[in-house]
Amino acid sequence: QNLKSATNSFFIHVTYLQLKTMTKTSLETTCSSPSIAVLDGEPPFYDKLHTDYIVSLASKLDAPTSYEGAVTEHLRMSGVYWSLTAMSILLPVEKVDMLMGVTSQINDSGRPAILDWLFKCFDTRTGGFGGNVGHDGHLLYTLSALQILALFDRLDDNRLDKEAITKFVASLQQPDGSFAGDGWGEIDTRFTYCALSSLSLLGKLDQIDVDSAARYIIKCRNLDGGFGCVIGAESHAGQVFCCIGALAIAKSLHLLDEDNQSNADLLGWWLAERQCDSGGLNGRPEKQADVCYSWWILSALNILGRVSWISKDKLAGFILKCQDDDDGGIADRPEDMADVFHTFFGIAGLSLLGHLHSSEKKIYRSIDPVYALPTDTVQRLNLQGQIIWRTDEQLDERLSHYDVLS
Amino acid sequence: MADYDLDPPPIISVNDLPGLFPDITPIEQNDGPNPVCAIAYTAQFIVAYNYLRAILAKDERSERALQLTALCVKLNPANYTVWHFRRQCLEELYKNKGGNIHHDGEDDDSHLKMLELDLQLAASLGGDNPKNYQIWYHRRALLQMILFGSNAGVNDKSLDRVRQELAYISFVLGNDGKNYHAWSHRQWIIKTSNRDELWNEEFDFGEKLIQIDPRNNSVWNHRWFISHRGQHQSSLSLNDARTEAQYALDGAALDPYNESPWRYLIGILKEQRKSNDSASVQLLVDDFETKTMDLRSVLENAGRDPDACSNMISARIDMLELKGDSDSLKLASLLANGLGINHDTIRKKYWLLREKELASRATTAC
Repeated sequence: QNLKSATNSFFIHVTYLQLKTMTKTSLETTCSSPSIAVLDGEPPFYDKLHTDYIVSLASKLDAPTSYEGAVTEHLRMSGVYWSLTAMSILLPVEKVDMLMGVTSQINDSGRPAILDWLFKCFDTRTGGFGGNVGHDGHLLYTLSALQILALFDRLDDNRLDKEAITKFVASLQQPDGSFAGDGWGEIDTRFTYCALSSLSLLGKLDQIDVDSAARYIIKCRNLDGGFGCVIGAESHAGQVFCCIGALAIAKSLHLLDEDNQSNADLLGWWLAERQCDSGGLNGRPEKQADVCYSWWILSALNILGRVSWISKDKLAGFILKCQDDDDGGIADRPEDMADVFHTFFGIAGLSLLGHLHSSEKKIYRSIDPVYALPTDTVQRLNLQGQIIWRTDEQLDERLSHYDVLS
Repeated sequence: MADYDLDPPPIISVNDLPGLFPDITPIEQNDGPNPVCAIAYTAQFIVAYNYLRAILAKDERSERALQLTALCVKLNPANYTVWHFRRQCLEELYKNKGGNIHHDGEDDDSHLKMLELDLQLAASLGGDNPKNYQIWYHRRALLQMILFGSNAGVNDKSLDRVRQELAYISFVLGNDGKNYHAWSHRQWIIKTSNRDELWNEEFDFGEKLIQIDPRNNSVWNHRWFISHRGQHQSSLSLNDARTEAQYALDGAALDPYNESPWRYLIGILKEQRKSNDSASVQLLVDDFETKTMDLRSVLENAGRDPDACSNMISARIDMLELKGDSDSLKLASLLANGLGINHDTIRKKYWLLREKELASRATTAC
C-alpha cells in the first residue's frame, strides 16, 4: 500500500516537472526572441538580442565606411572592454571568444584577433596603452587593456611589458597623491581609480604611495558626502564610483569615517537619493535618470554595504525598460537609441542586482563591483580589496573574498 | 543655441592636403578592401588621418603639421592624440621663433597670439562639443601658459584676461548651466588666479544663476567653493556660517522641494558643529530648526502637505539630530518613520534604519 502511494507521488512529481519544462520551452519558442523573465510586469531580459547586438556592432565599427567607428576609434580599447565584459556575463568564455574573435581571428573578417590588436595599441614611448593603434598611452586605456587581458586569463602573455606599464602608472602620481591621466597632466579622481586598479591587476600596488592616493580621495569629499573629479568639484555619481572603488582597492574605506562623522551613511543616503520615481538613478540632484548610473551607484552601494537603501526592483524595472526589443542593446533611458556603453552598464547593473539567475539553459556570471570584471575572474587572480559590511545586512556571498570592514 | 563671438583661424580642407604635403605618402589604416561607396564624411576622414599617420610617423612638428591637426580635430574633436601632437607643434613653432613656451620672461606678442588663436579654435569646436574633455583640457593648457606662465602671478592686465575667460565659461553655462566641465574649468581658473576681486565677483555671479535656476545643484556647489575660497577643508567663521545658512534657507523657502539648498544648509551646520562644539553653534542649529518649522506655512499656503515634503523633513531630521537631546532625537525618529512608511517609500529601508538608530540614541541621551 505504501509503495503504491509512493509510486503515485513519484509520477505526479515527474509529470509536474515535465509540465514545467514544457511550459518553459514553449515560452521560449513562441517569444519573438529568446529571453528570460526577470520581474513581473516588466519587459523580459532580451539576452540573446543583446549579444547579437554587440557582435554585429563590433564588425560595423571596424568597417572603413563607418562614421560611428571613425569618431570613436580613439577609445576603441574601452569599447572592446565594455563589449567583451557584457558578453562574458551572458555567455561562456569560449563562446565569447569564438563570436568576437578574441584569441584568434574570425574567418574572412579581415580583422585581426582582438588580443593581437590589443598589443599593437601598446605605446612604447610612454609605457601605457592607447585607445587604438597609433595613440598615445593613457591611464584610461591602460586599465581597459589590462581588464581585457584579465578577462581572458592572458595577464601572463609574454608580450605584456609589466615593468614598463608599472613605471608609466607610477610616474603619474602627483605629490599630493592624485593621479594625472598621462604626461600632459590632467588630474581627475577617475585616474586614481584607473591607476589603483591597473596596478592591482599587475600585482604592483606597492609601487605607488597608496596611502597618499587614498588621502587625496578623501580630500575630494564634498558637503553632501559625495565626490567630484578634483577637490571642490561637484559630487557626481560616476566620480563617486571611482573614489569608492579606489578606496576599496586601497583598503582604506575606514578613512571615510575617520573624523567620527558617519560619512559613509551620508554618502549612502546621497546615492539612494539619486533614485527617481521612474526607478532609474541620476548622477546629480535634479538631473535625468540614466542607465549607466545603475552601475556607478549600485557598485558604490555594494562596496558600502548599503544596496538595500534603494529599491532594487524599481531599478531593475527601469533598466529593463531601456532595452531595444527590436535590435537589442540598452539605451540611457527608455525609447532612446542603444549604444554599447549603456548596454554594458545595464547588463552589469542587472547582474549586480542579482536579477540574472543562472538556470540549466543559461549560465550567467556575476560581476564584481570593485573591479568591474566577473567575480570568478577577480577570485582567480586573487585581486585584493575591501568592502563594508553593515551587521544589519546580509553579507554578499559574491564579495566574500574581500577584506571586510564592519 | 547662441553663438559666441569668435574669429577662429580658418581650417584647411581635405582637398588642400596633397598640395600641402606633396612629399608625403599617406599611411592607410589597414590593408582591407577599399570601400565601394564611402560616405563623403568618412572619405574625408580617411584621407586626413592617412596624412596624419604619416606625419606622426615622421614626428614632423611644423606649421603644415599644425594645420593638419586642426583639420583632424575638427573631424574628431575627441581624438586626444591629435590634440597632444598639436600642442607639441605649438611648442616647436614657438621655440623656432626664438622663444621657449615654458620659460618666464617678457611676454612675446607672437607667442601669445599663437596661443590665443588656438583658444579661438577650441571655442569654435567647443560649441558643438560642450562636454568634450580634450577641448576643455586644451583650453587649460593654453591658459596655463598665457596667464600663469611667469612667476609674477596674476597682474591687473592678466586679471582682465581671466575675466574674458570667465565670460566665455559664462556663455557656455548659459547654454547648459550644469555643464560639469565648464564648472570645473571655472573653479580651476578662479582658484589658480586667487584674486580677491574674482572671489568677490563670483558671489554675484552665483547668486544670479541661482535666481535663474534654483534647482541647479552645480551653482550651489560653486557657492560652497567660493564661500570657502577654494579651501575645502577649512570652516567658515560663525558669522559667515550664519549668512550662508540664511541664504540657503531663503532658497529653500522659495521651493521647499528643492534638494540643493537643504543640503547646503545642513552642510554649513555640520561644518560648524565639527569645528565649534560650543553654545553658539547650538543656538545656530536651534535657530534654523525653528525657521525650518516655520516654512511649513509656505507649503500649507500653497495647498501642499508639509509632511510630504521629504527634502524639508529630512533636513529637519538632520537638525534635530544635531541638537542631540532626547526629545529632539525622539521627534527625529518619528519623522523618519513617517518618511519611510508614507512619504519617501522608495527609500523605505534607509528611513526605517534611521528611525531605529535615532530612537536608540534617544534613550541614552539626556
